[in-house]
Formats: sequence, structure tokens, C-alpha cells
Amino acid sequence: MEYGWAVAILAASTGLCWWTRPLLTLADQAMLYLLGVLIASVRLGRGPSFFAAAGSVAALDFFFVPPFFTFDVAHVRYLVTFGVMLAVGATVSHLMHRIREQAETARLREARTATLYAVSQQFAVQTQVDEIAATAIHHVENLTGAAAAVFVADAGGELRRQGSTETMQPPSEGERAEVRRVFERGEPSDDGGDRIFLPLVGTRGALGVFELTRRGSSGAVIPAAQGQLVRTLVAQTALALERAMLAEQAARADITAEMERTRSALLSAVSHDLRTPLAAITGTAEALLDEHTDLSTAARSELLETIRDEAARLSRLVSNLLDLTRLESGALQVRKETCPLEEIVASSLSRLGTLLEKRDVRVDLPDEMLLVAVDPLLLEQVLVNLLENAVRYSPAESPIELAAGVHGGEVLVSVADRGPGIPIGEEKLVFEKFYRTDDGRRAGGTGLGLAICRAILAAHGGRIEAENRAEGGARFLLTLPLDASGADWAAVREESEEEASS
Amino acid sequence: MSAPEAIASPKPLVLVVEDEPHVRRFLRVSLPSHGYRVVEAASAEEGIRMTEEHVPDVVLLDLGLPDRDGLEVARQIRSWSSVPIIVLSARGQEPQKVEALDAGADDYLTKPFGFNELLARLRVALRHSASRGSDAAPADIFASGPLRVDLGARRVFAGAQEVHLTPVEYKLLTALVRQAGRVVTHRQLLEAVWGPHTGQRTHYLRVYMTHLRHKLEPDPVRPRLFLTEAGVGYRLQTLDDAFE
Repeated sequence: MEYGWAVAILAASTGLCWWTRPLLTLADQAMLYLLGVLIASVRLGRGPSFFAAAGSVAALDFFFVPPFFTFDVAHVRYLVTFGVMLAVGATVSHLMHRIREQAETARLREARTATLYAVSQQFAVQTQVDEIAATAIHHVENLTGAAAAVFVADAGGELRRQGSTETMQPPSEGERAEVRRVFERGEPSDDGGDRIFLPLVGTRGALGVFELTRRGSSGAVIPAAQGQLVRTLVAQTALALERAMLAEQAARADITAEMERTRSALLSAVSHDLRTPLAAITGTAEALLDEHTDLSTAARSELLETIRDEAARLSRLVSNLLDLTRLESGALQVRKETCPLEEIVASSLSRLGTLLEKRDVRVDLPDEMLLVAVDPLLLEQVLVNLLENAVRYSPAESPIELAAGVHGGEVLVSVADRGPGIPIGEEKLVFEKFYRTDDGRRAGGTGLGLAICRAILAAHGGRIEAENRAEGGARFLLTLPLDASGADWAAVREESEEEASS
Repeated sequence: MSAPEAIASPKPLVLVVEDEPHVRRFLRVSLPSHGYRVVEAASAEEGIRMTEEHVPDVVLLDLGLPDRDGLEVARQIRSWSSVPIIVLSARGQEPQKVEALDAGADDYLTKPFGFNELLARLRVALRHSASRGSDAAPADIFASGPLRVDLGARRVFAGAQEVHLTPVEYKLLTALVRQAGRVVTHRQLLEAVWGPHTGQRTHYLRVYMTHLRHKLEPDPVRPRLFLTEAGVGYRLQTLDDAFE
């Protein structure tokens, strides 16, 4: 076919030279033929273009060198012309061919690089083993036309098929055995024509096996031209799989480490904070029991008060721990009811009893009754924790202010003190479990009170925030949704009066 | 078993049903100096048996007994005796306390409880059972601190000032007065004021109690009379322990 084109080019060159015969010299005609040879080399294979070169010389000789229409030459100088022309034609043809070959090689290389790049990019974002296997299979299939499957070893060393071409059957016994063998040896193998098994080897040993099954009935499983590319892909797949598996391990380790940290923080907090009041109680009780200690009645009373107060502190700590555990494990049920905020404030104040006795607690509630939909026990706990903190962190003579109001469909409650306030920048940090300022540590707090408050508020669809007051001290703001159902007290009152009289 | 005594007012007998030996010891040791005799039971079975045998004046019943549910014990004792039962339970066990109270217990104490609290509960329990048992006419006037309620004339005074209460408020007040010093559960109050089948309308109660506090307490936010027993009910404190 190509030779036909070569002949056509020769005919065209000859025709052109013939019609322009009066105008052109032999040199010009030789140039025209060479142009034809160039065109032939660009388009045609090696053979045809060489044929064009030789044919050009013959045609030139036959048609345009005297004696015309013979292959004889009148003069030796024409032999030189022919020789040079043939040499030039052959060289041009050869060079053109080389250029084309190189261009083709470069193109193939570029295609290969593009494939590897595309695969690398995909692998870079994939974190799951099955995703990576699917990508590898997709590309290898495209390159080789074979059906591919990826086997990956799990934690127990079992090889599981992680991905395969859709049409593939589940692996047979023989297949599994071969996969196992390749995995253990780390060496590729083929079963004599239809299948090839390539080991997936990471930096720390074999990770799995890549299986390729020829789909057609003949030819190599992996075409020779794609051999290197396929092997490179398999190596990349191995590395990507290793990365994914290591990332999984790291994530698991992180979670375990986090759980360990929480557990040990809890244990150390519990251990220290339980022992301190216990130490006070034990020591005081022993002092009281000691017959040699000479105590006045007043001193005796004082020591007994210590026992009582430390026991109360211990009791609050245990309550906090239990609440926190219940909240964290989701065991705490929030039983919301419509409650007047005032009632909850009253019961929080009375729960703290003697702790508030000597403090100036100022309560500022609006005249109209504020109804909130809350679990009264839980909200009481929040106020108790906040008030306890206020007492603990502020000087004995300073006032503690509790206020509430409605703002934009929400109820805002604030508990404020005139203590040292919250360290700047830690306004959010204070709500973390076990967070304590240095003052807090000294004052014997557990670091749990505010964490519990936050959890309880969250369970009610509310919020709690901390801020420092301009005049010094800390303010804690709670936001609760206003209870819409109870807001219309007039209607409720009517209804209840009716029911009562019926 | 003690010999029957012919003396006018023997010391009241307290039966302590509690499996924790240290709690029993603390009660056994401290109550006698306040005018009580104490007998102990360490399990539910023993407690029921001893209630039959000793006929105590008050039973202190722990809800966390190992052999039987405290609620059942309360129910069983209540089925043949009107002895006051005060249940002992831990914080966070409010639903169980309410169940026990609705099943016939008269009051409760939350562990760890203070000694003064215990003494107050015992006094209230004994006073109620004494007035129930006596043939005297029911008291006409209730007084506690600044609160005076003239049940005959249906007039209420806070200090020197007469206070007007709506019919519902008055009904609520009298329900509390009848049980003065003892806790009354939400359900018991709702039934007393609004009739049966209103167990779910706790918010009525809360709002009305707030109204009562506003009308009758000098400082509504720091009530001395109308105490909220969170999760359980309300208690009208008897500040002077006086019932004329």
C-alpha cells in the first residue's frame, strides 16, 4: 500500500518536472525529486521511502538525462549526480524515519509518565485499601486488557481479595494456593500462560499479591510494550497500600492513646482529689481519738466540723464524678419539664446550704415568671456547680451575683463573682474536663464542674460561656430556650383553675 | 422483745432497716441521747419480721437492701400497719423515692444525710402519727414561722399581714399543711388539688408553688417555708414545730 504512495509521489514529481522542462535545469529537477523523497519519508515507512529515493534517481535518469528514455548516461558527471542524489535521498529517508521513531518513543514515554502521574495523584488522595486496589485494577486493565485482582494480607496474615475486575469469579483453591506462595516468596510467578502473579512488596515486606488474567486466548498477559509500566504501577500500588495501612494503624493508636490519656487523667484526678479530703478526715478523727491529745470543747467542735465539711466536699466530688460518667456514657436521661426558673434558683441555693451562709449572694430575677423547659435536677446541678466555683474562687467578702432575663426568645442566666477571673484566652478552655487554673488546683477543685455544666447545657439545646468582667471577676452565661408552651401563663392559669373547680 | 410498759409516754422506738453496719452503728449510738430507743434489722426479711414483732413507732428503711426491693417492703408493711416509714436512699434515685412515697412511705432522707435532718424527720413523723392516732379534734390553726393559717376561717397570714389566696392556691396550701413537715409528692399534690388523672401537669404545681412563695415568703428565692424537694415534691417546713 505504501509502495503505491511512493510510486504516486514519483509520478507526481516526474509529471511536474516534465511540464516545467523548458524552465528547469537538471539541478532543479533533481531538487524536485528530492522534495518528493522528503515527503515520502515523512509519510511512509522505511522501505517505501528508500524506494522513492532510488526511484527518483531512476526516473531522473530515464526522463531527464540524455540520452532520454534510457537508463544510459551520456556523461560520467551524471553518475556523480545520481550518486549524490541517492545518498541524500537515502539519508533524508533514514533521518526522517529516525525522527519519527524518536517522536513515537517520546510520545509513548509521555503517555506512560502521564499514566503514572494520574495514578500517583489518585493514590495520594485515597486512604482506603479498597479504593487503592480499585484504582490500580482500573489502570492495569486499561494498559493490558487483562482482568486484574488484588489480594491484601490482613492483620492476621490472611490474604483477602480486595478488588477485582467485575467479571471475575471468586478465587479457586489453586488460585489461592498460588497467591499464598507468591506472597510468601515475594517472587512473581505465572502459571504457564493464562495468569501472572506479582507480589506487592512495601518497605517492610510483602503486603499482598497482584493477579493478572489474560482475557483473550493468545498473546502475552502483559504486552511487552507495557511491561515496565505495569511493574511500576504494581510497585506504586504496594507503596500506596502500605501508606493506607500505616495510616489506619496510626489512627487506631491515636484513639487508644486518647482513651488512655482520659482514663489516666480521670484516675489521677480521682486519686488525688479523693485522698485529700480523706486524709483530712482520717487525720482529724485520729487526733480526736487520741487519748493524749488535750482538747477543749471548742477545739473538739472545730475538728469535728472539719470532718463534716471535708466529707461534704468528698460527697460533692463523688456526685460530680458520677454525673460526668453518666453524661459521657449517655446513660443520663434528660427529663424536661416546664419549670419556673426561680424555683430552680431557690433549690440550688438551698442545696449549697452552709457554703453560702457567710457569702453575699445577690439574686436578680425579673418580676414576671420565667418558664424554662429543663430537667430541674440537671439545671440545679449546673447552678450549684457555678455557685460553688464562685464561692471557691472569690474572696469571702466579695458579692456573688446571679441574674436572669429574656433576650431574643432565649433565657439568659448569669453567675458572676469578683474573684481573679479567667486567664485571658482560656475562656473556652475552662469547660474542658480536668481543666484547672493554678488557683483552682490550690482551692481543691476537680476540674469537672464546668465540663458537666457544658454537657448538661448541650443536652438541653442551650449554651454556656465564660467571660471576664470589666470590673474584675468572672461571669458565666447560660442560654436556655424559652419554654414556649408555658409562656402563655394566662391560658394555663385559666385551664388549671377550671380543672380545680370541676 | 421488751416488756410492755405502763408508763405514760415511753421513748419512741425506731426500727432501723439497713444493711450497712456503719450506718446502723451511727444511728444506734446517736439516737438514744435524743430520746429514742433503737432496734436494728440488716435485711428486708428481718425488717418485716421485726416490724411485726416489735411494733416500732417509726421505721427507717433503706431502699438499697440486698434481699428485696425497698419499695416492696414499704408496700408490704403499709398493707397492715400505719407506722411512719422514712426511706433512706442515695442521690440520683429520685424516681425510686417517689415510688416509695406514693406506695405508702411518709418521708425520705438522701444519703449522706445530716443528723439534724434525721431528727427533724423523726419528729415530724411521730407528730403526724400521734395526731392521727389521737381522738382530739384536728387542729384549727397552723403556724410555722411567719405563716399562720386559720383553717376554720380560711384565712392566711404572713406575719401580721393577711394574704389573699385564690381557691387553687388555698387548696394547695392546705394539702401541704395537712402533711406539714413531710414531703408531699407531685402526684399527691396534683390529686389533692386537681383530682386524679392529672399526674402529668407538674408544671401547674410548679407555677402555683412559685405564686405561694411570692405571697407568703419574705424572700421567695430563699424560701424557709415552702421547700422544693427536687425530683420528688414539696415540703412545708414546720419551723416552730408548733401545731396548736
